[in-house]
Amino acid sequence: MACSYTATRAVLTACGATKSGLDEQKSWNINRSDATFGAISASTGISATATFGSALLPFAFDARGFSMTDTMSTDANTGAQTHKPVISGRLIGLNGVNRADSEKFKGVNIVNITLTKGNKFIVNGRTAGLTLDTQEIGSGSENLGHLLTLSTTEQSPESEPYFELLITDYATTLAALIDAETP
Amino acid sequence: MNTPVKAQGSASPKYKIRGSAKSFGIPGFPNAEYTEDHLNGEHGEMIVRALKKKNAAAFAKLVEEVK
Repeated sequence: MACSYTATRAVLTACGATKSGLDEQKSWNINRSDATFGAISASTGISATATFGSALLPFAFDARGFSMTDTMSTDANTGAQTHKPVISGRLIGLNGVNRADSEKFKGVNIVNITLTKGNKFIVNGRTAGLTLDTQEIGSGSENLGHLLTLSTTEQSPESEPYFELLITDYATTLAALIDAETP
Repeated sequence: MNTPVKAQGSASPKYKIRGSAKSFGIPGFPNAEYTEDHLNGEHGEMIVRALKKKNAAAFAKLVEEVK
């Protein structure tokens, strides 16, 4: 029997362990103002629809160092709980294309959709948006290229954590994102 | 896992998988399996557009467009 995940955390016994990590070849960005998602289910954390007002920009990072974290914090004064997602990715090599691609992130407010190795589409930046937080450029073998971090600003954190996008099933969601990519 | 919804009230299916296979995978769509329900369902046109966009040659070998 083929392995398939249910809508909740329970998995069929045939599935085995969920793979950790992100698929560095399947990451998309779009201006936040151009992306609209359907309501997120309180029980599953899934949004089942997405509408894109402009083309999705596919972005392939190097496998090394591609990661996502989300830190929730509580304001000591107001008690407000907010989230700070951080997506780090490396463009290997010093060259004109990497310079041009990293420049695309400056001055924009984006939503990022990234595929995990467990075949889940994770969306960050829906409520406040991500911006280019830091960029470290180096020539040494350990840091060759551009290491980018996308995150929220201190003044404008996310009011909620990431959510999962699932349009009918994995195959349909993947097709929807590729269909919405830049030609 | 949800299953693709068949198009309501549509006539005969527009796309048929060649041979006797019930589903197919295609380069550029890792871990994805597409069935005739996908191709002829609610999101069928969008799925076909994406498959052709990424790998038109492979799509033509795998899927027959029913006239």
